[in-house]
Amino acid sequence: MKNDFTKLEKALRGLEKPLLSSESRENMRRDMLLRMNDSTPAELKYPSLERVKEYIKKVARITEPSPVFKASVKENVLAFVERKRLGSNFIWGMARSWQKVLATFMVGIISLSSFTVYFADIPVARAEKMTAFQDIYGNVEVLREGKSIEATKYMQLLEGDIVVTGENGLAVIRYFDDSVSRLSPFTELKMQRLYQDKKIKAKTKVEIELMNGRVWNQVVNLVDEQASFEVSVNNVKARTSEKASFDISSKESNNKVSVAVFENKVEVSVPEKRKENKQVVVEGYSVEVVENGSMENKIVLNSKEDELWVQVNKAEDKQYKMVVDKEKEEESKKEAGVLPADALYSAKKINESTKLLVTTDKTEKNKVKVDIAIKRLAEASALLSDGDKEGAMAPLDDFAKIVDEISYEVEGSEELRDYVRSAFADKEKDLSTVLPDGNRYMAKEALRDARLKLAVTDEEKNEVSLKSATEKVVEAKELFEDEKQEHAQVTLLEAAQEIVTVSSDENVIVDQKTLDQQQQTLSTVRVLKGAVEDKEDIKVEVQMIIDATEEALENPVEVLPEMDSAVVITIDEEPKVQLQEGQE
Amino acid sequence: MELSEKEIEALVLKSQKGDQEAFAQIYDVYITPIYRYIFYKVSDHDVEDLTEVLFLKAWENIRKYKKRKNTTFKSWIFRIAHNLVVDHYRLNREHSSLDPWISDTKKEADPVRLTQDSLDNERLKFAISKLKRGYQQILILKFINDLSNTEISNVLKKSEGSVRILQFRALKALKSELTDMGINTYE
Repeated sequence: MKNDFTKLEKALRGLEKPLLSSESRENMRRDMLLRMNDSTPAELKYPSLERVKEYIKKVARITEPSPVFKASVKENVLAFVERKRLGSNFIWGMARSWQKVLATFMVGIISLSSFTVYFADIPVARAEKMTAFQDIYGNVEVLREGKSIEATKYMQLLEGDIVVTGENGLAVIRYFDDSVSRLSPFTELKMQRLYQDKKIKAKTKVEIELMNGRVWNQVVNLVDEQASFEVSVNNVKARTSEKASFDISSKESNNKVSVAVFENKVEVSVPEKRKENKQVVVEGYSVEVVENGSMENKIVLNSKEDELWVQVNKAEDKQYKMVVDKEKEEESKKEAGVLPADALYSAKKINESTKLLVTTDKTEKNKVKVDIAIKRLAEASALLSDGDKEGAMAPLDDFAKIVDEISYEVEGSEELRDYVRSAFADKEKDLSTVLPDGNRYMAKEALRDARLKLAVTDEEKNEVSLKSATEKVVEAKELFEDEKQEHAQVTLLEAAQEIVTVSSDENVIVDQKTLDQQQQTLSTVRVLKGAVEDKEDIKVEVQMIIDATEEALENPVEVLPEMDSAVVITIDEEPKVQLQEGQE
Repeated sequence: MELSEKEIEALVLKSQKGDQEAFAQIYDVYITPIYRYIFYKVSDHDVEDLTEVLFLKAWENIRKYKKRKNTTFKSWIFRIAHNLVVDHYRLNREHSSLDPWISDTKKEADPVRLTQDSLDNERLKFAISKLKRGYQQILILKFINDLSNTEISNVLKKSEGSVRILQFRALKALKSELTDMGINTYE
């Protein structure tokens, strides 16, 4: 094929190029050399034994106890001496003071020699999560390996168990992935699969089978792309990989299955001949699957019969979100451990530096860095939940710095990428219920930025951006529902900007994964559209944003194969051009 | 300053052992191409700052560089530049890198005044400024910074086939812009 760009290419190569003046060049060189000295790693500044000596000197400088700590020790010692002088009338007071002083001295000794004494790295005290009854009312039993067991609160459930509620029986099951199911009377529910990946803890799969009756399901924080929550009834499957609330009912007598969605969206599928008939059901809608396998859509109506069940569960949903949020906050505080303002914080940092120093394997060293980064984020999260935004800045900065360092390493190591994915997914799960007006939102945003930085290719970056934008759309919806209009609009605008930028980026060769993510985002935007339908005062403005977003998502650039010679197609052109091998 | 690839790799090895003078020589080699790359991507007042940050990042991470079959140090350092610019956009919500191009207030740059159909620098720059960011990028890397397709594929983390596709699209879009301006781009 004749190249008709020759003249153009020649003109481009001949373009006048910007020149950096020699003065600016020299100034920058000088600046750079000065700054380079500060950023040279210790291993390079101080080789071998010299390095160890210098490191110890550096550590000794850090181990200097803070003035507050020193003053507190002095006070206790003086108080003890004074009491001794006054006599033994205050025996119990003395004993306590003595213990206090002794403890203070011990801590002081330990912190001063911390490069030889390691603090036990107290792991996060999270109990292994399990699936169990959160609540029981009336007649509820569990069928396990053919035997019937009376259900009790907090009783663990295993794969294969069938939960049976009687006439006045109600049960609430909390799964290890933080989802819940609430069973109505006369329900039989089987625990088909309760799976958690060993390496990537956020990769969970809960599959339950509704054999008869009615169950309300609330999924609050699935974050991993391969995590899912699925309820099957006969051949019908209702599945979600995100936040959602949905109600499923089935009556043995009439073989009709009904799936009604009350938050976000759920994918319902029915096998049809050799393929699967899938439909995304968004909130406010339900589907009924009748005996011949066909799906009929209808709008959920709060009939008299359903009203109480739906209203109660909606209220329970709200309550449960708050419970989970609070739990995650507490877990985060425990995980954070000693905080920056505490006297022992420097000792904690020394312990971390020592760990890094003694770890020689490159991948293991990077994993330690990931652990340290997560610790910083947990500290920031704990400080934010106490309202200390200022205090949280330092650990957030540290977190960003470490992420920056690791970003150069992930490309070359799949093991490290998996480790990062797992560690970050756990934190995302913890923060997933936090809304933009919540205290810990800064930590959530820091984690999103980190995800973006760690994405290797432009396509991955765009996927991450889209996912984060989708989450913001869901957050905006929740804020609208809580009547926090202003906050909701700001969040929605941020999401829309992100979506429009990503979707119009023709630098990206769109692959199937990106297209799928775009579809997900589009469905979520449509859920939001439904949610603001009746909000007349903000409808127009919000509608404009939603329309722009929908338009961007509905016109993606065509998927192209990754080949050396390729057919170039754009959506408003006919396929015609073929690039030859080696043609540039 | 021009050095062969072998000489550059030798300087990189020295820098990886902490030799700041060796790194300063690397700076001398790449300052101009990197400056040019960043110049066309961000606004005037950010160019020098970002260029300096880029070299500091390169210094901090130089031990992570490994010579591989299709990777050169050049594509490695441009990759850092690319990521830095992307982060800069996201942090500053800077959607347009057009300012350096169209801030020229010379009369000749005013498209309304363009009466000739010749392909000169100003017209070309103006036409490029009208393109989408991704197209500008591929043209800058290829024709201003003289990177090969292999190097560009390493910078942008795409296959060489994709790079050729993007380049083709970019040239086609540029040609279309110039045609709209009444400029002949054929021999």
